Amino acid sequence: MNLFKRTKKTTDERIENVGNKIYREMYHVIMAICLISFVVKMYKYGAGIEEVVLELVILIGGGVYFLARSIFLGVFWDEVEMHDRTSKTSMSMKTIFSSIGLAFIIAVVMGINSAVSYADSSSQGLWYFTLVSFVSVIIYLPILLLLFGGIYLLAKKVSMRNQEDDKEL
Amino acid sequence: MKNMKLKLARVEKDLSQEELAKIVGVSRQTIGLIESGKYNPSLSLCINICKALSRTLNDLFWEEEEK
Repeated sequence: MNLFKRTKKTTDERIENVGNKIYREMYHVIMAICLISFVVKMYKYGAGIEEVVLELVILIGGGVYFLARSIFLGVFWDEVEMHDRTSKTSMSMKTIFSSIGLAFIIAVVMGINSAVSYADSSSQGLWYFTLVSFVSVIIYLPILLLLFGGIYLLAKKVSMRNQEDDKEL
Repeated sequence: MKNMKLKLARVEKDLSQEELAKIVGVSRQTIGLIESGKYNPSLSLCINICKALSRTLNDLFWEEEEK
């Protein structure tokens, strides 16, 4: 009886590759469904976080998992290397610029929000906008620089360690 | 680009696509797609195909540059 004899499982790399492609597409479909659900719930129930917490966990969790895996497998730094080979502006500069840009966008949005919501006159609105925007930049700029810069430096460190391991072979 | 060298080597060995696929451990369609040039196999699959057909990588997968 060969019923319980273990047979060597053969895998077809093409089927695996196509399967991986389908998984990738499936991830995009799931993200799109979550995003639609998020927007619909926000529209339907208002800006409460309780209704959309699952969607946020899936959207952010998926992104964080992808980022962490790509950093620790060294793919993130490989992409940086490929980018720097062809682009005039290096990824480190782009990281700094995008952190500054994002901090200013957040500051402007918060400034407009406070001016529209709390100011009684236009001069008071301008004062609120300037004050809140300035404070927002002071708060968010270091946080975003630390976050993006930290990710960048962590990816670099992991890649350097992997390179050391490769040299030992 | 079609891989006629692979197809010829397989026919010379008197193997069908399905038989070669069984020996190598892939599906028949994969062999068909490699022969028609629609799928780029990995190096390990190329080596397995070469071993099954008693040929070298040069014989089956090296393209001479056109001058």
